[in-house]
Amino acid sequence: MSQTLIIILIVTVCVIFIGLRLYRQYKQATSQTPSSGCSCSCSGCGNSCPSDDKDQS
Amino acid sequence: MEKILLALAGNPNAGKTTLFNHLTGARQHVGNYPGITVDYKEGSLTLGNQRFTLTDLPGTYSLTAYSEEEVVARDYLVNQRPRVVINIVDASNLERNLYLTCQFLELGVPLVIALNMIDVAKDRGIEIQAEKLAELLGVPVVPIIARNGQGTDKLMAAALTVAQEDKSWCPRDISYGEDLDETILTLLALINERNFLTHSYPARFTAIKYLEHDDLILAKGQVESKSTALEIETLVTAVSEHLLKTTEVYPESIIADHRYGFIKSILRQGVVSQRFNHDRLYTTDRIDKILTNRFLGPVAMILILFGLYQFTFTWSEIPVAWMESIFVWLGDLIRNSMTEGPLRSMFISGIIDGVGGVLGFVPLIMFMFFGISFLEDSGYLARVAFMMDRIFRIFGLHGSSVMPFIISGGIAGGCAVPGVMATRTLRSPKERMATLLTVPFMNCGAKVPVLALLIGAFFGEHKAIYMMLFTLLAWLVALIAAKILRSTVLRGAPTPFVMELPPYRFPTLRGLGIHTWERTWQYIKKAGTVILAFSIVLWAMMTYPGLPENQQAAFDAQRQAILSNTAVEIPDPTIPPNQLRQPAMNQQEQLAAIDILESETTLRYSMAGRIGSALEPVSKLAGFEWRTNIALMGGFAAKEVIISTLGTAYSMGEIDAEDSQPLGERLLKSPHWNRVVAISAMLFIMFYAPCFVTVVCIAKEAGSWKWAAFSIAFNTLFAYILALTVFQVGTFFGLG
Repeated sequence: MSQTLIIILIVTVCVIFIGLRLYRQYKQATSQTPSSGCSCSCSGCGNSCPSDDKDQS
Repeated sequence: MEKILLALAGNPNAGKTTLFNHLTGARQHVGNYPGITVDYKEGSLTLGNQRFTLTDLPGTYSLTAYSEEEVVARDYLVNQRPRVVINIVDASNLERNLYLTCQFLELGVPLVIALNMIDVAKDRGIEIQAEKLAELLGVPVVPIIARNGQGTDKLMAAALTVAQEDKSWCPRDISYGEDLDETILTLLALINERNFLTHSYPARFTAIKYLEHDDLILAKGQVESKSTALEIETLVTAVSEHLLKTTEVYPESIIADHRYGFIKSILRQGVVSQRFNHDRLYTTDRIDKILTNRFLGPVAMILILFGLYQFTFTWSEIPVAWMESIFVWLGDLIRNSMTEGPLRSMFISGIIDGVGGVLGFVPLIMFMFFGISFLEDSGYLARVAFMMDRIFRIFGLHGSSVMPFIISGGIAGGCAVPGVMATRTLRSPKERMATLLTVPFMNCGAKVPVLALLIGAFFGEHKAIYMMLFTLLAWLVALIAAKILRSTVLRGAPTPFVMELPPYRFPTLRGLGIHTWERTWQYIKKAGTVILAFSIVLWAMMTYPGLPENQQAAFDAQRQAILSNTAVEIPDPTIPPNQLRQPAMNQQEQLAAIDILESETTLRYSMAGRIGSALEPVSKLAGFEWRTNIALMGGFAAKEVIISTLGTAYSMGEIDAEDSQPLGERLLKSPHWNRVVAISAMLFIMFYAPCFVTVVCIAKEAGSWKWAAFSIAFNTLFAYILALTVFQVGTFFGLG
């Protein structure tokens, strides 16, 4: 019984994670912002990385 | 303190993104081929106490609306009004690069010129006097090498000085000959008098764009004031007709000629000196004589492609085997340390057999990306595009379509999402749409491990050859599909194409290392997050609901019956020992058969099993059993999920779950898989519906969800017919 509860919890977390991820991918792909487009985190998708700040002094 | 907005602009492949990455610390993708940046990207940096926002604009040859990049770049400059535009100029191609500089000067933007690749220019014997060029153009010119950051401090200091001056836009006048200059003056008077588009562009810039027949400016003019627009258009038509009569040349050509004349007049004033003979063949030209030769080029391309796959499979074989052993060991460790139950099943069948199957290919992915990064950084991929242009035209596609194909995984290991976005470089909407719908046929980085798994399991003796054949097949099928589209729903005339070939560069080990690691890390990260989550959810869908008690009881009863039947026979003392073993063996076989039947029935009874089984009557014709159907459906979320789902399904199904094995071996032993099924499955996976994110991107880029739906339906139907044909023909000839 306790194992079943743990599994329900894990699967729920996974479903929420996937849902949020798909929603974010959908929003990013349909938005017109500068970083729009690639949001799939694929290994072949080099343009997906967000710009990082770096101080140059 | 206020953030200063800077923009990086220049010709394609001039090094904008390299400089952007160097200045901001970002890791935007950089390739030695034109057209990497099709949208603009922003980053930040601090110089002293001053903070900057830096925008990397797409590469353009002009500011006339010939293509999407040119529109993006010009709109950004006009709407965002950056304080300084850093114009990256390729020092080894100065004359051509300054053509865009002329237009920046005409627009009047505050400009700083970054004379990039000064080292390449020196190697070619070109000496450039930067101070002289700055004096003649009236803007700061700073020599830099963006690859190693040399000169970037001086560049940023110059940009800061110009930014602090905060001057208003100051357009430069270039003479375009008597006829056009007179017309421009007339247009200027009209534009200034009516304040026509002056809130967006300098009056002279608008006048020149009307003479160049810039479609977007013409459309904006119509919106601003129809009557003024008509007056201007009438004047422009009159001068165009006059020029055609007298010189047989359109105003656009005269404007281009005079801009080049302006550039030449500057360069000849001691700005550029050539140390070598102009006819000398550079190393790049020498290499290109072979690699882009009409006959030798394609042979070299096939050999290089084969070499890439041979390198990938040969070098990764041992590390892949190590990874598989690690996951088998992990599975055994959990099996021995956890009590039997659903949690243990989730760890072994869901996580280890699922995610482990994907992670097992990390070494292969790493070696493949290393090889691809080498080809990309060296400039060879641009040659592939150049050679493929001839073939593409036969199939109704544009030469600019080649790069989106390569980015999507034309050599293997790309991604369809940036590939779809890269179609923005195409000017013809129909050619663009045909490219958009066919780029997902390429073997992206997510399909590669699936192909590697099946090729490794069923065609292990010739892995590199099969991988190469499947890559070539992806191109062939994509081109045939494009031809079908261009001959039916997307019929239209082809447009001309000019391709710039960048010089060959020997990739740096550091650059190769960074590119390889970035892509490999993305793969690992995706496996550890999204794929892990999908594996767990799909495991749950393959586990629940469990078998009803009456069905379980029926299986238990069958077991009891077998045990009780043999229990009567075994104690019989009259049976000799060698004959005693046979009933015992029979008993074990019967019990194993019951176990297999029970696990298969349980899996079929589960949520995912029911969906897979419902599709089986159709999929069976192409050779796919219900477990494969579950994996293929998961592949719509991300293609890597196919491996993890197969891993889980075959771990829980008829093969003994207690026996840890790599997925390839499980498939090889399965009665539902053989060589024909493997080929049929690979073809289906290569060509069926693109993943979710690609579909959304297609909808966005095509401007309609109808095309996205068409892409799903067309690709899936196409893939199914192909897989069905291969399976039926292969089975008929007994090739399985």
